[in-house]
Amino acid sequence: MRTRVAIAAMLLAATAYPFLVPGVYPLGIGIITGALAAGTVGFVLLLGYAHQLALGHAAFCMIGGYASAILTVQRGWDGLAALLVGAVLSMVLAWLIAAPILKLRGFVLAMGSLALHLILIVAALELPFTGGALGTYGVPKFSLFGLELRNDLAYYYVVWAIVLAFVVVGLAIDRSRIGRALKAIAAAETAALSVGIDITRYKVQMFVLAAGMASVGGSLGVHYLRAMDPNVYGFTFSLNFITAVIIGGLTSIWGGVAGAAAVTGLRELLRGLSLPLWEGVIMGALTVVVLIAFRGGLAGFFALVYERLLAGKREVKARVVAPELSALEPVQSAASRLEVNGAKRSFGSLTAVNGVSLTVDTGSITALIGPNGAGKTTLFNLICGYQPLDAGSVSFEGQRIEKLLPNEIARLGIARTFQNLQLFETMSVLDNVMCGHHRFVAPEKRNREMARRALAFVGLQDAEDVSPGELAFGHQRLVEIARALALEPRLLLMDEPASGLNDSETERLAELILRIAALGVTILLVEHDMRLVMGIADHVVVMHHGEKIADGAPDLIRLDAQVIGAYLGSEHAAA
Amino acid sequence: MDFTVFLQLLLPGLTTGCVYALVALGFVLCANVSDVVNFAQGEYVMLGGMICAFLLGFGVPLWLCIMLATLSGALLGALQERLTLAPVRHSPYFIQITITLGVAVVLRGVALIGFGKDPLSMPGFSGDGVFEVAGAVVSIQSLWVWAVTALMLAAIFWFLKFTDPGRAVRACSINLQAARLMGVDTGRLTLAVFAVAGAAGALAGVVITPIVLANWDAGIAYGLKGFIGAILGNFRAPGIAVLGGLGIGVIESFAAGYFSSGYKDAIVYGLLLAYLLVRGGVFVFGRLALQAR
Amino acid sequence: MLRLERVASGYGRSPILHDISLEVRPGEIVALIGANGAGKSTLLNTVMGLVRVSSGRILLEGTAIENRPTPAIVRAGIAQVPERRQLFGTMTVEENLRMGAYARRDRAGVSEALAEQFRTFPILAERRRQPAQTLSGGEQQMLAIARAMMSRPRLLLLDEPSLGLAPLLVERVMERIKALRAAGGTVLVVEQNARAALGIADRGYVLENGRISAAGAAQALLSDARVQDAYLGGSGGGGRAMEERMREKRRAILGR
Repeated sequence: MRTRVAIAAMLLAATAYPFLVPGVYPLGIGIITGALAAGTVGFVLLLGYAHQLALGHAAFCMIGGYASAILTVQRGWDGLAALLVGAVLSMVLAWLIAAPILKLRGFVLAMGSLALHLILIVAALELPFTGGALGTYGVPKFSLFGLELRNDLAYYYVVWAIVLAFVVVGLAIDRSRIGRALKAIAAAETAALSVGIDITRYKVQMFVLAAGMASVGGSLGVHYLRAMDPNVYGFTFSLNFITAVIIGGLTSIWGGVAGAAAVTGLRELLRGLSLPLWEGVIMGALTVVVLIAFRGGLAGFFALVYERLLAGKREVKARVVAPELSALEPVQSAASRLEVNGAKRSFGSLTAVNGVSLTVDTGSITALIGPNGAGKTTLFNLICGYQPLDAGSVSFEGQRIEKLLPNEIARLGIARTFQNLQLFETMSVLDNVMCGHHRFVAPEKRNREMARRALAFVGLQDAEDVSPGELAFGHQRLVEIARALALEPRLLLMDEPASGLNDSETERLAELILRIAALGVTILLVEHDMRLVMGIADHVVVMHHGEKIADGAPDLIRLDAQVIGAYLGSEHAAA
Repeated sequence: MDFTVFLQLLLPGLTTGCVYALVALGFVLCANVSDVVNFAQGEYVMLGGMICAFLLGFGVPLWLCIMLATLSGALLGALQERLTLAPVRHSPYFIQITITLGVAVVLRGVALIGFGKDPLSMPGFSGDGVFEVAGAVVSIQSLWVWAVTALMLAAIFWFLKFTDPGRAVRACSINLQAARLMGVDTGRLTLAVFAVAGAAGALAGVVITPIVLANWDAGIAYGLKGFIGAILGNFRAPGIAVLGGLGIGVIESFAAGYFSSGYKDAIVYGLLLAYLLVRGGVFVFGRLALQAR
Repeated sequence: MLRLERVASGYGRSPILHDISLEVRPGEIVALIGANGAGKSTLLNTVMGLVRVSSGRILLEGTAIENRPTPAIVRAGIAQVPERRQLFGTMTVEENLRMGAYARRDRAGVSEALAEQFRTFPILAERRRQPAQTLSGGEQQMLAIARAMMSRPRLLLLDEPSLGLAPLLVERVMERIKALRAAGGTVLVVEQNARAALGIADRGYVLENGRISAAGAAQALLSDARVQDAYLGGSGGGGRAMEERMREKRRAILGR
């Protein structure tokens, strides 16, 4: 709702602007701002959502600008056609660059993008068809489908119509499964992988989309400037995108547009005050100050004012109610068996897991226990795909999975929970659980329905709009379990689910796990709490010093001398 | 290839490579204590040169100019850490490095306002003469560059290897938590490292200015080229970063010699891109590590 | 020497320790045992200032040290041998030892301390220029202890020193800790290996789910059934009742 108000206000401002501030020069500023805004929307997705600080984003404006300039001047093409060619070129180049680079960790794309930009500038200076340092001039006014837009006012509205279209696209992405995935990646990458989100793929997608939008912005600008040379979209222009997004509020689509207006407005103000050289300092300072002191930017400020004016803030009380036992359907699977064979993993001279084999039978609850340092966590991570095996294999339903990435494993129907809770703090409880359903490409209605059912199953149906941070720890655990259930798993891997719970919470957890098993989900849990393990497990596997030392029914394990020795220490260690 | 030509390209390449090496080292040091890529590193080089040349223009004695420029670098580095990074120590990583970018932009802007658009020049420390090595002509100032760089590198490596705070810096880069358990005040250490990195960058800028001219815009190029050196050492190994920086200087010089000075930047940056593409595309089979970032 | 009074602490949203009261008297070895996840490491980290204390007090010889910065606590005279050693792997043995003395103000004392540690651990003297990560598990544990001793602490905290070590090495480490007491030191040992720890300690505390569930003379605890309970939910007590209830539910829901 708040977003709609903001957008309506922006639309109003944009429409009224040529009449509020009449004149040829202000209109030109309005057009340039629109061109910048078009690129900024894409950059919000890139920087704010995908967290990619691309330092050379203006490279794509260059491509769009040159494509438009060269094709219209030298070949007499339609403005729209040239713009589209530029956009396609940009997106292809973006994909070629980003797909490999984004697999690397660290902020290498920032520098890689800058390197690209600087290379393009050199190319623009040296290549024969770009016009060198002087560039290409005499670019005609924008034309589409043969109709030339002689009137600057008409062009202004065309530019802003495109901006509006981009904003709509951006908002659609924000509300979609992709937007949710991006927010999940930003909030907790490890957890995002665990629900099947392919991190690299989404980051690449945003980079490509942002490149296309920047290219369009570049083309639009060039038709107003009537010339294109290497200086038009230089390093400073890339900085404009960054500043605009940050001032706007990093994660707000419409904020990016407002930021673009702020950046241009600021520049004009400085020019008016005869202080054009101060632009850099002020932009840089604004960036730093906003990020340190008020990260919400313009959008955040607007939200604050909006909340203040709408005095009655809804009291959202989250209650945990009785779970709905029939909320989830039983699993349709005959054989969701997990087999580990001779798993080995070493770190340097330390062999954490040394040839461990175990089987988790279909529909059983298996517990993996052992003293600290036994290698349980490493083995668990091997199964979930967060660590590679040095030797051995892991199979699920007969299929080998040890070489798969965590998100690929999740897509097979294997869900997991984390010992140290990996919730997406920036989303509501409902959105968190909806992320669990990510592996299915389904209409949002279905995603929401599944999420609600999972929440009902754990008893959190009244807590869906709350932010996870507002819940008690025990309830947060339930959110994570609901998220795992939303994945519709056939195998559920739980890493110390009782960690941090008190006695009554542990008992309720036990009951919940039992009911999940009743649905037919196979369960493997790593756990230290012996009451839980002995109370609900069908089958217990004990590890010590990286090896399996016992394997069997709980009561037998408890009496096993080796196991007791492993935990309490062997007899002769006492001095 | 003619040996004279070879030297004619190699020696000036080593000279500019010295600056890149120091920038690369600055990157690595800051990254080791704070995990942050400090985009402002290149700007310190630019500022060192500009401040020195500027003061010299007012008749300030050379040694004083150099000292003031270097101290400015140290001060700015410390201020950057204290004012813009320490407050956001627990913020997401990409926010921290965007802030360093903001600082870099501010520094550029300040240089533009303070010193103007035109490049500043200054004479060589012992004049603008040249000397010959096997037929290749090299400026005497190059000797200063090599000497100062060698001294700085030696000092920094000695510091890291043999002094207590230096050892603490290394310890922080290996295991921050354990370093704290030893009583290391990681906040103060980070401040010191940023100051040293700023000073080193500024001094590098001072010695290179007689050869290359100081310009408000020069920071990005220094930063980017130094970055290439740092990334070759994965941002952890100072030795490799230094070698990388030197190497980039040499490659750049040969590229300018064999192709054209217009294309030299494209080639160097192209190498960076190629390196990143190869690292990402061919040799990385996509297994992400569990830790964040 | 060290007293915890009703300390509660945890990480952000997850409270780990509840109402912990214990003390370590000068010259004694106190063992803190319990299953993993009970909060043993958290307790040591809380004393060292790495975990926030939400309520209660920690007193070192009468001075309050809760929520003070870690470097200050180290300078006050507490040193920790962290879980899994946490050595500076690529640095040499000698450099690791020097790092241990980082908080000391006296330069001369450092060289003396270094010589002393090399006398006590001749194997470290032999390997003084080797990177720490090339040492064997047992040697690394010795190095970790020597490193902590370099700061001449009044109180030594050891976090699971037996972790990852073969039984023979565990014995040797325990011997070393006894020697520390003989030399006048005070030690708080956190261990999962209850028998090894209680075997050398004067007194012990049992930590279960963030609370002290038993305390007393070490010898007495060794034969106390509650200790086995804490690990394997064995013979008696409330744990068994909970377990029974869960089994009831299991029969009801799963029919097995």
